[in-house]
Amino acid sequence: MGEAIVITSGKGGVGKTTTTANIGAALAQAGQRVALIDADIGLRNLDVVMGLENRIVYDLVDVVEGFAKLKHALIKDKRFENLYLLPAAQTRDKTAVSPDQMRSLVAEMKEEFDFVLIDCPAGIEQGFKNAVAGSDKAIVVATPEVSSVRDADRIIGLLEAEEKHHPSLIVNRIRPSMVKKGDMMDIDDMIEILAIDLLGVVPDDEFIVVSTNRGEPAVLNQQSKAGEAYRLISRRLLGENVPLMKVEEEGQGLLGRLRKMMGIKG
Amino acid sequence: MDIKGDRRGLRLVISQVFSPDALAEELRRTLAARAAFLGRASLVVELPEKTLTPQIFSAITEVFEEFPNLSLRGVQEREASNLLALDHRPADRLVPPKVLRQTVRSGQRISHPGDLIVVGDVNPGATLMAGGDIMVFGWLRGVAYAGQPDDATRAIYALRFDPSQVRIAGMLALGNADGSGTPEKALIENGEVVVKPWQDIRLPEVVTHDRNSWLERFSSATPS
Repeated sequence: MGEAIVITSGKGGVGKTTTTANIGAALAQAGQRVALIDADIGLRNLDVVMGLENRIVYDLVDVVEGFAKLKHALIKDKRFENLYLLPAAQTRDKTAVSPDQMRSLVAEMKEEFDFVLIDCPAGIEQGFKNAVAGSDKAIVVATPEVSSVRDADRIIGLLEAEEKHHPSLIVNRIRPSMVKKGDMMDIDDMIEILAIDLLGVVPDDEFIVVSTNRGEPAVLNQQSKAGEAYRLISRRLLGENVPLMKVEEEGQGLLGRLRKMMGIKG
Repeated sequence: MDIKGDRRGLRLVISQVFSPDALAEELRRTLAARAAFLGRASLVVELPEKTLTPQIFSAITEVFEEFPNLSLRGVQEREASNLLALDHRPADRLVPPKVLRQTVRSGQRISHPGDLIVVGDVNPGATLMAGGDIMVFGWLRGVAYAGQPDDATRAIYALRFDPSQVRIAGMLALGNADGSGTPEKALIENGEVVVKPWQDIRLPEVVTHDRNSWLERFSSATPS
């Protein structure tokens, strides 16, 4: 029986889809059986980021409505041993499925896979409710901006109200040089507001733009800093105790504080 | 709805049980019809036994706001001991304080007719509303309304006082970003909201009396 994790943020454009694709790819690289669900019905992206767009035959709505079997809708990513994508429908909207339907779909997929990662749409409406319905855990992605942290706080409040998702945080697109100059929120400030466990820190990396456009997850590139960060996050999800990524040249200041923080937060 | 007068003054007696909306509508009609008779009167609204809820109460106060000539002296249930008089600091005597041990997050809105105590942070975008005092044993960065609707003797306390907005009774003040980071309280002095250092800090009894269960929760929340 696998585990279903929803990747969410409230705010759009902070990197939910990129995070889903990369964690999924990294877990698959580590030998796990992984399925990705694009829950952003009507605005699907995950297939593009994964480079699987032109292989879509059936989608999530087809499965839920019984037009297609799950195994026929799942697209296998040939670059990995065990990575599959269930794409969203592009021609429908969020009301095409209900939380109950998502719950039973995800339960069915957990039978087959070790990890089911659900890419949540932005917002707090129906799409969010659908994406969260079947999940056991939540990963909240936030960038070091006030608006992103505010929305993440809202999302965490909604998740906590259901008392089951135990949200953890990924700080995305951090720029060490800007943090150093005090031009960007630092991770300590974000943790202080959000008061949840830190799962990982992903540095801002131009390679992500290239990889998104090419449809190749950054974890496939050994040179990509962001790719490395996602590999570390996936190891943490597998229960390994790995230190946070070194995102500062000198290393001492921020890394030291992060280590300390990990110690406290477990 | 009947209007009765005796040595206690004018009372508006409601003998039926209404939903808040129906009550508001009926009350509005009665007050409008008797406006000439009532003049600038102040009234006590009397409800049937065990029907006074926060929803009913706010429905009544909202209707009275539409009649600037009239003032609402109090709301009471039939039994005289349940007098909820607005000018007699009702909240602390009749409603126990509410204690929250959590982070109050953006988009969350907590309201309570009595004192409201938060052991935790109140994040930007969160709203606290209380009939009595508000105490935040944590970092207050959201919006806090104390003494609602009209008790100007109330105050707002926080260990770190950086609210985006405070209101006590009808007086509103906007926060500024340069909070001192030290314990402060907001209260009304000479008709305006002032912020002062909060020196006599102690956890209210309602927080400490079940301290054991609180410590248990605290220790289980921090894995070793």
